[in-house]
Amino acid sequence: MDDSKIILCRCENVTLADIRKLLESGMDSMQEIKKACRCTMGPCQGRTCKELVAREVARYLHKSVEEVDIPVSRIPIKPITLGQINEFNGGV
Amino acid sequence: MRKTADVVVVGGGIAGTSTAYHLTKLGVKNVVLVEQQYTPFGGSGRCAAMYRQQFATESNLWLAKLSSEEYYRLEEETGCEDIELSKCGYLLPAYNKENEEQLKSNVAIQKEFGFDSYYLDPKGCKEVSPYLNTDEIIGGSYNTGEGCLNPMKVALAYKAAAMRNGAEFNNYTPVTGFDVQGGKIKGVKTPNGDIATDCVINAAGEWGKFIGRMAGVSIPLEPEKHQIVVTEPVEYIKAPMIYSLYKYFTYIIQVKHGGFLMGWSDADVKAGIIDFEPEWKFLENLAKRIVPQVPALGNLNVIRHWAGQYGNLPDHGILVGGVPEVEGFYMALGATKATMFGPALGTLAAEAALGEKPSVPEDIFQTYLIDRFAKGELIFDKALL
Repeated sequence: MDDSKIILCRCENVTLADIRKLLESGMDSMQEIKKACRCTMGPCQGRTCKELVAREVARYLHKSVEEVDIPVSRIPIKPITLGQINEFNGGV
Repeated sequence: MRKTADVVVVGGGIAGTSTAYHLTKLGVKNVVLVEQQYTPFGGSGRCAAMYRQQFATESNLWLAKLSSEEYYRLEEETGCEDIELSKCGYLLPAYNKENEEQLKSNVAIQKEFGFDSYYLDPKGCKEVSPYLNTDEIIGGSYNTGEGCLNPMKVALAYKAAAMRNGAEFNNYTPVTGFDVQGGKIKGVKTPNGDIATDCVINAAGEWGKFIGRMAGVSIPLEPEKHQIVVTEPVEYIKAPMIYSLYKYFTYIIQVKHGGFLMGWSDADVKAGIIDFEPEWKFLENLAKRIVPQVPALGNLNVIRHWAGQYGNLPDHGILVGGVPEVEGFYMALGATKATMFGPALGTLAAEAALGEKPSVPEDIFQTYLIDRFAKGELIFDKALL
C-alpha cells in the first residue's frame, strides 16, 4: 500500500510517508519528529496516534518501542474551554 | 561523537542552533553541539512563538532588527520549507492616559529607529484585531514588521543548515563538567565521551547559570517559570498578539497553524528553580483574564497546558562574549527572549567568540557583555513586562 495514503496522525493529517521522510533525513528522535510535523499535537493529543508513530520510529531505527523518546502527555485529560472553567468558578 | 572540536556549543534550543549555524557561516569547520535532550527541549519549544520589534531601548531595537531581518529570509537561507511566519504584529492596549503616553513614546522611539510602529485609536485597534473587546481600551500600539512563527521549525531549520555546513549535533548528551587548565577551557565532559576544545559557547538558556557554575563561571541568570496553553486549531485570522502589559498581564495569539496560544505572567512565581509542571491555578486565572478581552475564546477547547522557563538576566537583556574567570568560555544567553532574538544571539555570540567585528555598533555591543553587571550599567526596557 502507498505510504502517502496511510494516515498515522488523523488530527494533523500526518502520513506514514511523512514520518519515513523525516527518519530518512536523519532524525532519530521522536520528539524532534513531533516538532517537525506536529504529529500527536492535535486535539487528540496523541491518544490515537502516539503508539502508531512510536512503532514506526522504532521499526526504522531497529529499536524497541521502549527505547524511543515518546513525547509526554499533559493536562487537560480531556479538552476543556476557558468558559467552562469560569462557569465552574461562578464567574463571567 | 567527535573527540575534538574547534567550538563546542552547549544547548540545542534556538540560541544554540543559531549560534552553531552562524559559526559555520563564519567558516568554522568543526562545530560540535551537545544537547541534554533534543531540539528544542527547553524554552524555545515551549514559548509563545513570537518575534518582536516594539522595544524602547536601542540595545533591544538592534537585536530586533537583526533578528526580524534574518527571520524574513530564513526559509531561503536554511532551505526549511515553511517557518510559518506571519507579520501579524503585537497590539499593546492602553487603558488610561498614562499607558497611552508610554506607548506613544515607545512608538516614537521605534519609528525613529526605522520600524513600522503606530499608535491606534480604539477603532483602529478593532480593525486590526476584530475579536478584541475594545470597550475598556483607549488605544494601543501596533507594528507591522513583527509577528509569529513556529519556533520548533526555526530551531530545526538552524540545526539542519548547520549540519549541512559540517557541524555535529548530539542529542541526549548532557554536559557533566569542563576541563579547565590554568584558567583556560580545554574540554567538555559528557556521559558519551569527552571533547577536547579551546572554545565553548554556553547557550543553555534557563540552565545557563548551572552550566557556568560547572566551569567556575558566575552568571547572574535565574530561571523563572511561565505557563501556557494552546487551543484546538481553527481557521486562521491574521491578527496581532494582544499583549496586555498594563492590566491583565496576559498574551493572546493565534499562530498561523490555527491554535491560540495564551499565557499569564504570575507575579508570585518561584524563581531560581526549573519546574515544568503545569498547575490548575494558572488555568483558573487565565480564564478569568482572557474571556473579558476576547469573549469568543471562552468557547474554544484548550487541548494542552504546559510550562517553560525564562532564563532571566537582571536587565532581561542578552549576554554574549567572554567571561573574566575562564579564557575560551563564551556566552549565548538571554533566554527571556531567545526565540525572538535567536538570529541576533547566534550572530553576535559567534562573532564575539571568534573575535570578529560585531554586526551592531560598538557602543551597543558593549551593552550585551558580562561586565555591565559588575559596573552596574544596566538598561531597563519600558516596553517589557
